[in-house]
Amino acid sequence: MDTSTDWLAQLPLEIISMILSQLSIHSLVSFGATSRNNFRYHILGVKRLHLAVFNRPLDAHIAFMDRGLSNDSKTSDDLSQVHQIQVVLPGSSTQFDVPLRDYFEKNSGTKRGKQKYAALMSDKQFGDLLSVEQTIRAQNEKFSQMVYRYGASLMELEFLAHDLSNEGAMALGASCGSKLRHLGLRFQHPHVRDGCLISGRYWANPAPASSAWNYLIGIGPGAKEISMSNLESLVLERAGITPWQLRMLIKRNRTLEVLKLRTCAAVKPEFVNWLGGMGIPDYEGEIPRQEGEPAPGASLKILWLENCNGIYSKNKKFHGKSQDVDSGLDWVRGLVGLQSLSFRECKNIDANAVQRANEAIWHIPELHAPRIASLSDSLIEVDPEYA
Amino acid sequence: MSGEEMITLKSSDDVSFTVERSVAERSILIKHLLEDLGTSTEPIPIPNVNEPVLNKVIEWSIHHKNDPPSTDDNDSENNRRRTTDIDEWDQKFMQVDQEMLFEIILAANYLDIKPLLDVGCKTVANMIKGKSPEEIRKTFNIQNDFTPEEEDQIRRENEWAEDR
Repeated sequence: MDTSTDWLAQLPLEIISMILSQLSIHSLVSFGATSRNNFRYHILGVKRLHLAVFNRPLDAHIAFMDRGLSNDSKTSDDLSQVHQIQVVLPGSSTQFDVPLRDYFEKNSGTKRGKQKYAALMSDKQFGDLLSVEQTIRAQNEKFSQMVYRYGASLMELEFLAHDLSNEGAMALGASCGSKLRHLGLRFQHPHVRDGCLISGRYWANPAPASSAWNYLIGIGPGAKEISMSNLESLVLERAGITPWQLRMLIKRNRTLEVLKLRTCAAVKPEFVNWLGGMGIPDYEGEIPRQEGEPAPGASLKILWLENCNGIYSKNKKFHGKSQDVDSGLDWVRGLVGLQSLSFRECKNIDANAVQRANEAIWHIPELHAPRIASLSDSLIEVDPEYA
Repeated sequence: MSGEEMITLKSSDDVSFTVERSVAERSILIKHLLEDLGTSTEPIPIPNVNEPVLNKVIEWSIHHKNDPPSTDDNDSENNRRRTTDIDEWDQKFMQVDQEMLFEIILAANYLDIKPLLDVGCKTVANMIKGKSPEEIRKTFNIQNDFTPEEEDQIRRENEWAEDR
């Protein structure tokens, strides 16, 4: 018998992909490092990738343990396994920046520059802030490396880190195309107590707004004309995306059925009103929505807006007029396909109002109110995890 | 097994095997063929599979002829989760040289015998698991066609995968 034949290479691609679907990410990566062909094959084997990048192994582990809004109901019928990858940043990424020191030295004469730099570094708050920035940069560097390699074949991608930077967003916009069905960008990890974080408050508010998000909607230098456009599910936690950026992202993904937003700056009246088809005419001079045309969010089945304080239910006394029972939240009426709605932890939304509106108008099968209503209003469905 | 209908299969090198219909029907291809043909006494040609391989496939089919059909999606998902689990008999059955192993996989694919294809793929996957790239190359005679620079770059990019 010929013992020098590469039998594996004789198999059709579908069988190779069946074999590779049995492997852990570590074995898959080793296999990919054996030859050029196998490198290509191993990329096809990574369809569902969840990536956590943190300073300490424990942090990555903790981030994964907190399921958050992570996708557990499958949006596609693909059965391939989820590859969970924990990447630990090398220690140097949390140390202060050499380029920054160089900058100070260059711009204010060597000696004064050094002094200024030293003074700045002794300011603890500034130091913490800087090291968060550096962590984010290092996280996104790893993320983009992964996305450039695996992006084109990914159907599902989740990124757990501190925030999205230009570099990470650019990689995402450029590499993940029409195959991507689920995207999760999760930047809220209250149990991660990274040395560089001054307090747990870091996680409580949305990340700062950033032009990075523009890369996901095909705007910006080098942004690809057609990036992701077939998303079925989008999860954003503590994202700094603006109402406009989110609106554009949803517009490009007409197939979207699941939208879960937690601690997101974009959840404001201008966004939800647009979603429910009550928006003012678009500011890019687009044709206003016609009477009877479905709302932009009409195809959504699941909408979770959690810990978002930018939306309000009007605190009007209820006079029994059923048409304004959902006053302030009347945009929900346009979301005609909704099966599940959540306002958990939304401080400015009244649980009773939500409950009444659902009984009178919305009739959404699964409703998660902001908090347990007073005893007189029983029968609110509360997720046991949050009860 | 009184009076079960017998089916004759003919390998690519013209060797005939006569088996019970339930054995032959482990192959979805043959099952559909028989359904279309009705009762037939003609030998069924299996043009892509030679005698030693067909012999192995039949051996497997006889052992597994009473297995419940597994077409359910959930089933296959569970199978994938527990990848190293291969039935003891199947493990022994798969202790063959590499050429035979890959021939069985190809035959199972052609004849549409999903459980056998699964066992074959798992066996190959188990041969990859936990090995370094160099060990995998040796196991399967894979020609390393990376330049040293490319190899170096891949090694650096893969560092995250090394600490388990």
